[in-house]
Amino acid sequence: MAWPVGTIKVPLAGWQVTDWSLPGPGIWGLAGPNGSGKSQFFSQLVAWGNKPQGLRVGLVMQNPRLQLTEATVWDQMTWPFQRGWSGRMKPAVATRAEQILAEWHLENYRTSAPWELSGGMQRRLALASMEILAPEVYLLDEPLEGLDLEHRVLLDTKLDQWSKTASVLVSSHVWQWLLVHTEWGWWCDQGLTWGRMGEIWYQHGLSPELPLEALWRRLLDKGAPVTPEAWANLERARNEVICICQNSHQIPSIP
Amino acid sequence: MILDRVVVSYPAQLHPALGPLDLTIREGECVFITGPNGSGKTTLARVLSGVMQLTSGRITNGAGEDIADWAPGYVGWVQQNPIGQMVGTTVAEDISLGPRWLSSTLDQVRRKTSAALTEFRLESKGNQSIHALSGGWQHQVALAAVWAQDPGIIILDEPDTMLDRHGLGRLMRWIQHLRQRGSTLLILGHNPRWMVVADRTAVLDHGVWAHDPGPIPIPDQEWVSFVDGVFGDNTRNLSVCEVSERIWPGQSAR
Repeated sequence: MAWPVGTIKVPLAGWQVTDWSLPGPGIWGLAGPNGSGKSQFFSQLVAWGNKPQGLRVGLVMQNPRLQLTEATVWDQMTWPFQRGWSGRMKPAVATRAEQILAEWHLENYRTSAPWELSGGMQRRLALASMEILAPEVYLLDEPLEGLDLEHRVLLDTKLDQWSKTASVLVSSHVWQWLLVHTEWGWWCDQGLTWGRMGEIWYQHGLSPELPLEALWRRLLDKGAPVTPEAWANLERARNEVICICQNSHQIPSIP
Repeated sequence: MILDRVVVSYPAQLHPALGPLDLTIREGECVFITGPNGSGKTTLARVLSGVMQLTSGRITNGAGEDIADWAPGYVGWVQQNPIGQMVGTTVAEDISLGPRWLSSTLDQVRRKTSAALTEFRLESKGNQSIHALSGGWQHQVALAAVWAQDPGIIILDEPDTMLDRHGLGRLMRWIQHLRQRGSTLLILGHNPRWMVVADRTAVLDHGVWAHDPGPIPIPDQEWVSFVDGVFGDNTRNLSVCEVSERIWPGQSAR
């Protein structure tokens, strides 16, 4: 379901958007320089008055520590479902909380205080405690930060699952990851500009960090028929270049 | 810096968060320490920077001085969560705290603070409140504050967190400068880019050195795989320009 938000003001960065809406199920990207207002935009989205009644919106903040408010990992997962002083909840909720904690490899930390966890574990707990709410809209502000390789792969799997039924808005400075997961999104700098993420990278991605990224920028600058986002996927990049070489009769070896 | 059978435990935890751990870092060496979430990287940073006590073991420098006797400001630590190390109300005030503590004249404080603001392109933000900054800019303020402190040993805990390409570029230039100057560097994190920067890589797992770190991809492997896959073996040393010329000869239209 698309989320028609309307006007959003981002006061510290000094810009606003009108008639803004988040499209329906899928993963949508948000990129922009430091200080452009991406995190404020996320905060404004969840602000009171912007959400239609009943819409479940889950936010994982850039600094997840700020949203971990409960005394234990278990309480952090289950507090929205606890009823009254007894803290009782439906058995199905407890089972689901157990399952999600196990998936994020936090099952052995149920009684730990969230602030005792490492930075990466805090990120995982914030993601897990959002997942249990089954949001219709996921707002993920730099979700990769602090995650080790194993849990980046897990996040990728979860994103694929979530985006089948929910709108997922992700911000990141890791272009390679952003281009693999998002086809469309916004460039954030004095406002929001909608476009294909590959084009956004090409227009605003600044100096390349990886050799393949540098090659792609160079090929695009020369007008070569490559798609801007292909460099982020090794297989796709190789296929596009082999195709160009074959068309120009310099047949490269095909592995 | 010599870590000798270092053990660190948190209260109410059955197993030590770190150790027993041995490590020797030579002066001027750059070591990248990686490992899964919760493996003890940040705990290691805490003990080396002196904010946390050892449960047992010893940390000394090459002269045999115990860590408790090291000069103030000798170790600088850029934390994973930069807001955790900020105590100044404005950017300039926060950056100046290290120099205020360690310099002998106010003029030195001003010079070091001003140089740090310039180095990290923070001149226009000097009077802004720390809390009005984005996460990425807060991280750059933390980097600038340690830059101004000018420590002998620098610990960077996930220093690329939240940085855009400009910020990453400034960080890389600073690291390059530190390496040329012979500073001792300890980089903690997950990004394989640091394997290329560092002299060596060590892997922590459950608080101890992993016996078999396993294959860790380094960024250039992707490039090698791409070039080999397109042009065959023995072409992996081609530069980006040469590969570009083979694929689509000609000059840039931009």
